[in-house]
Amino acid sequence: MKDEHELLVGFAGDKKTIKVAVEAGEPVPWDLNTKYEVIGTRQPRIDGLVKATGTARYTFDVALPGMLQGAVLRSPHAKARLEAIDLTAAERMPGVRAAWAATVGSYVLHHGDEVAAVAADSLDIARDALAAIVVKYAVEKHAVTVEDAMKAGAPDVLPNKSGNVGGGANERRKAEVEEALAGCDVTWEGTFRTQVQVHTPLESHGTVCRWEGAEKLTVWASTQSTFSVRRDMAKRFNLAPTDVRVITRHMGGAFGSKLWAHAHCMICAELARKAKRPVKLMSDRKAEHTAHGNRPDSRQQMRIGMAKDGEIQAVSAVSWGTAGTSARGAGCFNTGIYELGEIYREHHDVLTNCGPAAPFRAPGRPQGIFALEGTLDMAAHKLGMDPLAFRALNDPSKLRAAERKLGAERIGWSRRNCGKRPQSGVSRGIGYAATTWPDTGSKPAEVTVEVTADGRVLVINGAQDIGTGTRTIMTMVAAEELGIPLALVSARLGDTNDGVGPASGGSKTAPSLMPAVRTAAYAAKMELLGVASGVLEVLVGDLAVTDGRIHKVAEPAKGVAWKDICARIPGGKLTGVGKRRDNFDKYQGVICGCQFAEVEVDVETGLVKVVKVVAVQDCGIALNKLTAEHQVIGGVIQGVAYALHEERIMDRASGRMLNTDFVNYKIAGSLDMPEIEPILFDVAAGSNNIGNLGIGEPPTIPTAAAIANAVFDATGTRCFEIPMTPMRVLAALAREEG
Amino acid sequence: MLNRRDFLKGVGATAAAGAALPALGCATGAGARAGAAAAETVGPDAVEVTLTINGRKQKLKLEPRVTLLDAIRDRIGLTGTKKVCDHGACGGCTVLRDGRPINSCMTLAIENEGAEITTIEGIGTPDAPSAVQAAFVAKDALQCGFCTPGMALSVHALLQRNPKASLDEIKKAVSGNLCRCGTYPRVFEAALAARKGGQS
Repeated sequence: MKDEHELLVGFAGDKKTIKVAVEAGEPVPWDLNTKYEVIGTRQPRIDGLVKATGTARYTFDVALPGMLQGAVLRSPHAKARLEAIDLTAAERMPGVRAAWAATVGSYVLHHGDEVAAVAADSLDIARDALAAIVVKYAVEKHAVTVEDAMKAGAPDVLPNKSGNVGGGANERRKAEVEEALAGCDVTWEGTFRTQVQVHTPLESHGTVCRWEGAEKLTVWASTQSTFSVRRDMAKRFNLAPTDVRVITRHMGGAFGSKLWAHAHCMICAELARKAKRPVKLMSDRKAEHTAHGNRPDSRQQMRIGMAKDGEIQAVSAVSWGTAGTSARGAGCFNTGIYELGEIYREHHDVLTNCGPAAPFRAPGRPQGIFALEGTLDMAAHKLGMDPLAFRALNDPSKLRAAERKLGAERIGWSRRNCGKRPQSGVSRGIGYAATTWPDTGSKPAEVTVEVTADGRVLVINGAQDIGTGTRTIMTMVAAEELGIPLALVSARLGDTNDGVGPASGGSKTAPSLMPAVRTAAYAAKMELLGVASGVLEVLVGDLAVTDGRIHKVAEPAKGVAWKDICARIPGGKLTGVGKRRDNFDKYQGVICGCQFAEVEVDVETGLVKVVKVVAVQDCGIALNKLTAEHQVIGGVIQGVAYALHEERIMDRASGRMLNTDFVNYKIAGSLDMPEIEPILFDVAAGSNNIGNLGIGEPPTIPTAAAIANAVFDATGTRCFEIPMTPMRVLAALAREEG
Repeated sequence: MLNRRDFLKGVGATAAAGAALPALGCATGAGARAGAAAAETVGPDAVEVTLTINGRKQKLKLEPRVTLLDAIRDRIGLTGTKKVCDHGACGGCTVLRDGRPINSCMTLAIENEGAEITTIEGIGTPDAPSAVQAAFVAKDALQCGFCTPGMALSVHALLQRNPKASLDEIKKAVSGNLCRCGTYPRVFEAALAARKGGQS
């Protein structure tokens, strides 16, 4: 049974009314007219204190009685057949309680691939035991760069697959777009390159596994998805999902690399089963860099054709990239923002004997946008058009137009250098790039809200907070719906014994989970109003809750304290349950945003310094502005490091990754910080009963593109390759000169 | 590649053992043990060590190769100090030794007898956080929180010795603390706010 409601959605500059069908038991959706008490304010994290005082327990911190420490032996070779693995000496060592080995005859396919593992009384004993394992490798030829893997006569990266290059051309479509390009007034072409970027979360991958008998398993996991780990472990060990319990109260970062139960989780559970004791298996830093995921590199050949007034008529994007030993995952995405006319896309995944890729904050998009926005800047330059005017001409979105205008004002777009080549010293420039992300959240999610006699409220779900502030927005949504002070509400997350929840990936956590929180709070509220109705002898339909007071709708100044009614709850506790429903037809099907970067380039040293980034970002209605802004800041910082200094370096001869530590793999540090101005742009998205969207990924997509465009503005020189190290910038400058 | 165990074995086997102890560590100055142990060899079996952690003396028996970090986390059970890179590159394992920030993964437990070691748990609790910790929460200077103990201690130590630290000095003080989530700008804000608050 559904009720139809009209919602006013959009933003001040573009409003519209949509009709939505609201299911029974669901609250009336919030929209552009809604006034909030708590939503949209700035609230410190409710788990901030435990983190700041070191009392928050991460997987790495779990200590159980009788727990053993695990360690994994990893391959020093990029490609080898495992001829023999002798665990005898290791197993005999005092303090070693269990061992595991990969199947003899199978292959290790990258530096850092798993070979064997032990569980011992201490980590030192475990490491000594690894040193005692005797492995016979039949080493084979490898290829660890795209160029080497694509050469004629290159060794096969995988043992049972001939050839390393996937994908193919669609010759007919290619010819059509060729013809379209040929008919354009103005064309431009160029090739862009991006590097392999490694996630490097501070808490390494790992789990603690404890069996209860042979049929029940508890897993403490450093994961972005408690329910995915439960699903995978249940499948691997032939258990019912409800016989696996996954616990993640706090976790130390992932950025996409911890979305399911990886090989090391299985090894840990295997060791725990053999030893009949709990085992903690946390990867070390070297394993974290070689074996636990990365963002693929790219080489993108771009061609664009325009009419002389600037209308884009055709674009061709042909790309290559390596996802390591994975046959797929290196695609580059540049869709969803501009109207590009006739489009041809051709992509080739190239296998290499390197650690397999894993989704990395907006997979495929920083690469794709780096090439696309660089192409658009060069096209604008060739046309003699202002880069923003060129974007505006080819971007139909009123929302992005408003965001662009706001950002341009904040950065001071009129201060651009316009590519005037400096003779010496430093030069400043400003660049632009846009972002988008398509995920708007989905089922399933089930939330329970408990109201107790003392007036306190607990919001419960089994998903995780990976550092984005999920716990806190749960309390804010519940407080808003219930009409009570935020201080009365707390949240419990991170245990699959509680209701099903989303993975924290795809920027989907908030839009998937929060509508279910609201529904659960609504259900609890209605039940409490039922109690109040009996006490006050007023119909439930005539009652409301405002500011911690239950009152007649018509008499907001009167009423009874929330706590006084709660004291009358039969049995002392009531619960409301909410499930995530399908999305409504919406104002906004995608998340939008844009960034402006100001850089300073020293043309004598090639050093690029990012001075300021203005990041305009929408996420539908921002629930907690304090934490939403922090997602923008964090995304920008990763984008700055991606633009300037992160890069996986593979040694072609040995097949090894050379920078397996933080000294040589350079993530951003405190001295690299630009001034960052995050600007949240509220839009009533109309997609769920709150109107919110996610925010984790979009802010990291355009940063490198904006920085590269700023370097072009500062110097008149296009650096086609990131990271833009001083060496690459100087080479680009020298190339232009000649 | 030299590991800690081989290094100590090698050290023990030579007559230079006694002299080697002061050479073992610490760029910031050896602990009291060095002077007392001029001709002593230790290990490889477990030895008795007394550490002073957050004002409390802890009597332990551990192999000389155990780092201060592992002793704090695994033996004493204070897990606020994090193991991130275990080779001195990231500051995740920051503790204070006699008030100065050190990487606890880069010093052995046995080198720290007689020193006052302060961990993140030692400067405040959820019920009574220090000014720096409260500022971190108020300014939202954290996301996943894994770098936070190290960051907070570096800021705390700076403000103890330099209550009027400038933004540049704050940036430098945390330049040895890596954060992957991107909390640096708000760490700066929290440090500035804690500074204004007076005591840290």
